[in-house]
Amino acid sequence: MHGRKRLTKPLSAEEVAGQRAKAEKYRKLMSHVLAARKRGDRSRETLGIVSKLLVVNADAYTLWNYRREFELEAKEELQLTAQCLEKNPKSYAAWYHRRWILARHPELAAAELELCAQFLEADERNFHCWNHRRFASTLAKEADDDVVRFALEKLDANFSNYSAFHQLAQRGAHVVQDDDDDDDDAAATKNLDLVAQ
Amino acid sequence: RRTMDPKREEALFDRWRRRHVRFFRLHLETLSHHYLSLDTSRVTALYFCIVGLEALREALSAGERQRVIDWVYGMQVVDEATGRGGFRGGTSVEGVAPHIAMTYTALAILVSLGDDLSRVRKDAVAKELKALQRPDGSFTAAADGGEQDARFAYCACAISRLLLLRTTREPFPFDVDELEKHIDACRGHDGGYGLTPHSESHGGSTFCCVAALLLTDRPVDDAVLDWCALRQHATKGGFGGRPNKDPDSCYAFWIGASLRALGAADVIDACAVTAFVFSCESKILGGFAKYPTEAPPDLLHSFYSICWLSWAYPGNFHAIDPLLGICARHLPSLSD
Repeated sequence: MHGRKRLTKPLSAEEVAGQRAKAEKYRKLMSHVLAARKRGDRSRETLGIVSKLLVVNADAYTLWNYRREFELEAKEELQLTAQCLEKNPKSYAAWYHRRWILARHPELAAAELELCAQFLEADERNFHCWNHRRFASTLAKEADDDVVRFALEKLDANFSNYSAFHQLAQRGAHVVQDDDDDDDDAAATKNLDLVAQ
Repeated sequence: RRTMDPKREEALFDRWRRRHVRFFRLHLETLSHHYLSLDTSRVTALYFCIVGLEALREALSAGERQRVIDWVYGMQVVDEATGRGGFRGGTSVEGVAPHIAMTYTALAILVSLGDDLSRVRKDAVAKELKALQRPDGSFTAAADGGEQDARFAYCACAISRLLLLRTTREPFPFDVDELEKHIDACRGHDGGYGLTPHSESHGGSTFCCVAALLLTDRPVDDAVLDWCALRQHATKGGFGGRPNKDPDSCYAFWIGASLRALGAADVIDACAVTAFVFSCESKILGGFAKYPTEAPPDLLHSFYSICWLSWAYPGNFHAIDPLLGICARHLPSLSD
């Protein structure tokens, strides 16, 4: 619903027919997949159809739930969710599935930080992505300094990025603190200076 | 001061009203491909139409009402093995577990259409709510998994009020103390609420958390009033969802309802919000978009805009109850 483009002209009869055919195909595939699930189907073939459907509609939460009943390859799932998120960067279900995979493959978490950086380039306020970054950051045991550095970079790019301020606030008192700050007051002053810029 | 002839005023309003009635009625019949992402949540689209029409004082015929009621009951699913149940999202999702947001919107529709809920499997819904609560007090949406966040906590509370609790003495089917702890964990340092602990405070999740607390008679920290009031844009007049975001018409509900439910509706400039909401109106198609003139109107933003207008012009609409998201005139039927 959010982020739809403006319709500049009405669809031609051809385009309408095309849409109708797409809808029909989508409906058939959905029924097929849900029937397969009822049978306890765990075949690669069905998984493939589920992938196709999710790329079309990443918000079909039922399909993601079904998917997690399969034996899954982490890399394949990360690729699929990335594809879905490119189309729909605010899909709760797609981000969740990605998190679910990472929780089982923490060794892949470090690479997530790069993905998050890319998504935040496209939309610096995408809270799904910021949440995901926090999750991956913990899993990857990212150093506090690196978390702070990333947030400060975002603020340098746009001082109105409240999401970046929120990230700084999340890290509490050890924000913007140098090794030679021997008390909390010095650190607090540094933080105030940042905001007062 | 010149006033308009009341008959002319009425005629103008009626023409305005019919435009939006037509918008909702069209979406009752068909959903274009723009709504594909709502395919598995079609009952929520139906909710927007039904409650939106009622707020606009548009009555459905007895036949139309029955058709919708029967369709909604067709979405009820109960797992006889576990005794758990609720409603699913639409006809395209056969054989799936019920989803908490679909159960909420289904019940909201039924109550709005005057159904007595006698065909709802209340015990199954109660069991489902209990089972969906996680150890940390939060809620998932469905038995087969998925994310857990403030949206579903709200749904659990609203479902309980719509369906299960008939007096103030009856217990909620889930652990309210644990829920309260979870909501507290979602509270930000700035007084607003995020969807999950440690996340950014956001208008939608703030509504969900505030409403959940109020529905369960738990105290709400005053700091949220300031946070909500600050969401009114200094120059554009509407509400944004977070600091430094442009106003978006749907926050007229998320923020407006939060303030209204907390008895603080007048801490903001209501006229400015109303002006912003009207600037998002699609004068030809009917309905409202999220931003002024930017996108085609959509169901969600149309519904939440109408909710705001129902408070701004109480004489012309059926006012929406800010906590339950249905017309307030149904509240008496929810308690004995």
